[in-house]
Amino acid sequence: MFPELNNLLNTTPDQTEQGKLTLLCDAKTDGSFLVHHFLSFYLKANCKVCFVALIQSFSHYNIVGQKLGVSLTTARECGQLVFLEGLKSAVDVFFRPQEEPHPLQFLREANSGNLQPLYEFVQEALKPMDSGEAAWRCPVLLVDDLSVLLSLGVGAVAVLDFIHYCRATVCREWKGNVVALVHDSGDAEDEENDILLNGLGHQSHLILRAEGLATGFCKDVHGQLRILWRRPSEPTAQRDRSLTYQYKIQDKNVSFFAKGMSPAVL
Amino acid sequence: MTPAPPAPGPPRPSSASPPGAAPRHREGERGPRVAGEAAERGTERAAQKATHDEGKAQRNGELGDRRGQPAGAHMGGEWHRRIRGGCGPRQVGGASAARKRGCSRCSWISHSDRRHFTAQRPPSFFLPPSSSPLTLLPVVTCIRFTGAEVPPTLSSGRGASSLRLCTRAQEGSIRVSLPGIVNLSTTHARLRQVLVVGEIVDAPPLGQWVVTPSEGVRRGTRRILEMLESLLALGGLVLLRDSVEWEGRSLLKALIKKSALCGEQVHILGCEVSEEEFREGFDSNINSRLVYHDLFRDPLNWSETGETLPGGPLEALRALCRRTHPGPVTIALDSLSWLLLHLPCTTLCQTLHTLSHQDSCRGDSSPGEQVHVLGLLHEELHGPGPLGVLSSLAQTEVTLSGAMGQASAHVLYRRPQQRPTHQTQWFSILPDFSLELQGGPPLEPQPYPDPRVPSMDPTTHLTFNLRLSKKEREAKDSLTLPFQFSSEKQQALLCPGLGQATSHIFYEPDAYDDLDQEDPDDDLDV
Repeated sequence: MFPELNNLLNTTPDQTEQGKLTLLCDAKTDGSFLVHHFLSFYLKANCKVCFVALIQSFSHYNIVGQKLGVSLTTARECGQLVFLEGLKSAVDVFFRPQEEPHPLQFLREANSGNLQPLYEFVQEALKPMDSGEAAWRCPVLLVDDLSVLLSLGVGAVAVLDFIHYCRATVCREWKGNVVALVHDSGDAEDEENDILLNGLGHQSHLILRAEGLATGFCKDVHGQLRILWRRPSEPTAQRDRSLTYQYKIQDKNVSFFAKGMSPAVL
Repeated sequence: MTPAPPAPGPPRPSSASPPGAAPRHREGERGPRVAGEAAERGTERAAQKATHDEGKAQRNGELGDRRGQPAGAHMGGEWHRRIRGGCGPRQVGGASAARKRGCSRCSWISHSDRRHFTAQRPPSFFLPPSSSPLTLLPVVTCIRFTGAEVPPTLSSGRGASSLRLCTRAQEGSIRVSLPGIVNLSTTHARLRQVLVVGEIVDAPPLGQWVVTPSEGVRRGTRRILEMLESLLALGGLVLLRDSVEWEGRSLLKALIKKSALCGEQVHILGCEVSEEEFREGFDSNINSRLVYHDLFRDPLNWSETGETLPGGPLEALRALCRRTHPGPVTIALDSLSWLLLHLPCTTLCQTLHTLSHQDSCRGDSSPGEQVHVLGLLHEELHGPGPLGVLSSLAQTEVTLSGAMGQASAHVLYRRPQQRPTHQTQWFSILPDFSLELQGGPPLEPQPYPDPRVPSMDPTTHLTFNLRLSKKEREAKDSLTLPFQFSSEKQQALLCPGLGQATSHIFYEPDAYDDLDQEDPDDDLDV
């Protein structure tokens, strides 16, 4: 969790907004630092997190999480974190008997199926416990990332449907949050990716877009972050709809500053 | 340094003007006067004024003088009485003064104090324009005409008709515009003339005379009416195209609210937002008119609880076509993009066509009942093909964009058998989903300030001369250019024997020259 980003988004772990879909996208740069931020943020906010990690292994997130002050191992052991490690479990699909449904069942199907098994996995993971006492604050679904599902053969409409159902269940019914990362292909014209990105953009409440600098790589400024609030929670609040900041990623922190105000330049 | 000019002596009041005439005042001369002099001047003036009777009102500086005079002495008592009907001592305010200045029929303040008003009432109070040029507004309940006869229409000032208005000065006001007169100052001038001329006669019954609102007010309110109503006026399919940055759901909800307030029943096929989120912001009487068909919770029947509409989205859409509820109805599709992604484009377009032309199918529907279909479309999600098809199906197409935090709608109207018309409107949606029109985006401040240094004339301080003297200019003008074929040159060429010999070249080849006419380059050692 980066305190400066919390300030920009006007949230703290103690008071998180509920029922929101946050879209993270990156263009020409790597936006995975946002995923690490939200993972540690929601773990610190005492929410139950279901993390569908299709890109990196568990240990990768664990190491970065330790730098940010959360331990994924402890969280997984006490039940706060449900971790679907896509890289490991993808292999299990082929060695499991076919009757048992697997979240990544679509890998086995010849034509692009739907993501209903994955949705059922998420539903199972984040279902509020019937014990009555609220152990965790609100359920959170984190997906890293959705573009790889397109590469694996799932159609853009199927991914949109999956997020639609997650939104209906997690956001609307259980008042939780959904955070998803999508890569923006940029110049490479990928129609499916554009449909996915724009479709999610229309559904989301907050869009964080990490872009590389237009002028190229720089040692002191790693990129630019655009924040767009789409549906303000209070209709009367007239806050800024769009903000742009530049950032530099350090070892344990990401520092944000206004455009052109990098400490290296001033 | 030149010595300062001698200070002018104090100007004598009546030095430059003949006795008996009003001395002219110039603004600058008021400065050096001192109080004593003013008093001296004042008594002198008072003596002069009693003798002359110009009709022109004197300018400032003389109010103090007239306090002792009877009202109207400055313009002659007879004339003044005729205009104002007598008035009290020149005072501002005071109940007695107000009553004396008021209309003789009602106790309101006379119009002559205020030359123009601006309508502040909401547009629902406007009556439809009748044949007479003035429309009555509730703020005015007394209109009196001064004139020999009462004209059925107010002509543009010719004739002795005139207008005097009594209106409540506190509660809003009206603006009078005489037909054919657009310029406000002309209107004021007309009113002034009109008030001066004529006598008071009885007004006709109030219902017959109407006062139209001014051009600006009428335009503004008409724009508000037109924006939402004209979007709904054509009937058929209204397509709202939005983007990620400029969302269109609030405009859709504003249109739904307008339809619901007009008494129509609204069916909403909701695919993208839940019912609670959609109904948020509407008050209860509007919510009672909304029927929400929920395709959000489980459109594809993944949960298999049996709650979903059987047949999926297509069946839900077709069910809307088959409703038998009489009366005008509005169908809102939120969103068409979702339907387009899940249904084949041709099926969707055929269903939409059936939906929007429903009244022509049923024989018993009156022509006033239209089916409004409002469709929200996210234009980045689709290619040009489906977008073009839906656009051609639509009678009204609204494309949302904006600049600098201000949303704008570009509306394309496709009226039957007329050319499509465009209109661009800047607007904002208020929290209760009513529309507010804006003038435009706030002007961006200049990024660079104007140059502080005034640009210098570069032709000063040159080491060469850029200007021509008179002789040089004449020589320049009379010069004939060598390759210009003027008449003199033509004559010279045609008559060469007039003393100008054409030039010849005389060449004597020496021993080493080997002139070969056929190969002129023969002597080159190539």
